[in-house]
Amino acid sequence: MSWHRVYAIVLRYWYYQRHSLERLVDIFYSPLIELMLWGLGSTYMTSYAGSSAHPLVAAILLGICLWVIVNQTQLSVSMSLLDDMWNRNTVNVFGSPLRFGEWLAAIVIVAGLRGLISLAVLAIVALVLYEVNLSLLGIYLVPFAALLLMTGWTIGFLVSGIIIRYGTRVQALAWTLGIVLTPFSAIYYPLSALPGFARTIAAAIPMSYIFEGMREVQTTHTIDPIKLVLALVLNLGYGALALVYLYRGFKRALQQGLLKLF
Amino acid sequence: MAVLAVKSLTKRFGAFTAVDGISFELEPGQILGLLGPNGAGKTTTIQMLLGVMAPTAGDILYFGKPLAKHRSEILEHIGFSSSYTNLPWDLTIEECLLYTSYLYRIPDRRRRVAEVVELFDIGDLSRQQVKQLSEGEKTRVNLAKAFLHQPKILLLDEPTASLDPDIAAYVRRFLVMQREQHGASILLTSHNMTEVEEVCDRVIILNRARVVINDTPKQVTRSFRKHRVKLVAAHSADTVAEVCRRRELTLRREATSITIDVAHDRIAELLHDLAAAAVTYTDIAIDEPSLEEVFVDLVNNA
Repeated sequence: MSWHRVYAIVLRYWYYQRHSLERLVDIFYSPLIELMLWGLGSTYMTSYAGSSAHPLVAAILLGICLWVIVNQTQLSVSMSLLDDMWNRNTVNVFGSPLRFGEWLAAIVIVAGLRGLISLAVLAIVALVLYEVNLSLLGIYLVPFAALLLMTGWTIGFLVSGIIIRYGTRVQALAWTLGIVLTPFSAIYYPLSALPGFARTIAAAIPMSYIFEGMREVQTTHTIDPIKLVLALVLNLGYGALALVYLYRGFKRALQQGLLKLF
Repeated sequence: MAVLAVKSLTKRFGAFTAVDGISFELEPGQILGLLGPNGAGKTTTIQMLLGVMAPTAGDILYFGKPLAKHRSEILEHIGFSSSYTNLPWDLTIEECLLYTSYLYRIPDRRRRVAEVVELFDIGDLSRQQVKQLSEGEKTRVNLAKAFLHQPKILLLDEPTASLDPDIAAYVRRFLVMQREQHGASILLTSHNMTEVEEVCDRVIILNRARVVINDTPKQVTRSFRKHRVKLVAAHSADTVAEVCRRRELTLRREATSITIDVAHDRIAELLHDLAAAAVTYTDIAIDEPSLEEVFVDLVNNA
């Protein structure tokens, strides 16, 4: 692994970011709008239910703040590949000494930074506008964020693996595949609110343990460690599978030639 | 030792064979032209040489080492430019070159970027985004990127495509200079036969996925097409025809001139015979066949 090559790719994404309004919109605009809509809706409900509803509002807004880590991370991983395909730049990138592992390391770093920056911005907005403080989660914020980053990377690898095989005609998956998982991830409501079959699906999704854990920490200031372990094991398993799928997709693309990747 | 050795390189896509067992070598400091009609397998070959397409069979050795096993180490010494690829659309030229300088770990990168910017006369463009450039400007930036790390080998796919004639001429001189000053070895594809004749030490012509010619441009033109001796000899036309008949040469009569097709090594014999037959002519011209004519003949007759 040559870190100067990893840095080169990270630097390139920084340059992309500087020039692209769309990317800034992707990172900040959509999550902020979602936070504000839920925040306003929750505040309205609180006005009827009284202050007893505030923990519920806080849980929803904390969920949105943490969900942005997954969403932005997976979007960033998928967009990294799409950018090169749209630019017809894959041959310049992989015709250089850059190794697949170095490219992967760079997009993991960029995606992680993007997820964490989005989280920081939402956390500030949630605190200022709705008096919901992410520090409610205490030290547990660290494992939650780390596990959600892993989920984001995993979804990104899976989406990239699909795009590298089927081309830009399936690029919409970059914006939609992660969202498919949200009803089963218990982001805005507890698992108990799900019907039976959905709970079975949720049990196989690492995010559901993290968001359940988040609510547990909010009310009891502690968490059943099994939830963190299960989320970690599922993340590692899915992450490894998604990586293998992406790597095989890359090898398959090499058979056709990377010039065809757009 | 050859800096690049290609052995029985083959690429198949299902039943279609894009490159069929081609072999060639690139010597140190050599400029090698890879020619062929569209679909002959040039771009597929370049992609395999760059490691962005896996061959179906065959070996690619750079500096004696197989590309498949030493890809990253080898590609540090390869520069690549193609009209088929783009640089990142949103980035400025300076940003493109700077991030590339990290990719190749170039020491004193700001100075080197400034050097190539000056070499390719793109200083005025350095703050512009790639998407704002004309095709010719993009080609120059692509070349600047390819030369940035002073590679030992350059793979250039249509290096002068879209360039104005004066810039194209500059690039040709630049390629020769790189070879002379830095010992760079260059493999280039081109549709411009004059360019190939001007800069290449050797040419490979691909047709229908195979190497049909691998020789020096001079030898290719001499071996595959006859020279034309054009005489203005109005009063000796029949005598000329008789000399040609005896030598089994073909000739064409026009209003005031006669054109004789003759191999390069038989021109002296022909002139001797014409003198012996007391043929008088008021003008004579010997046209050397061009690489373009050889190329067209080969493609049409394949």
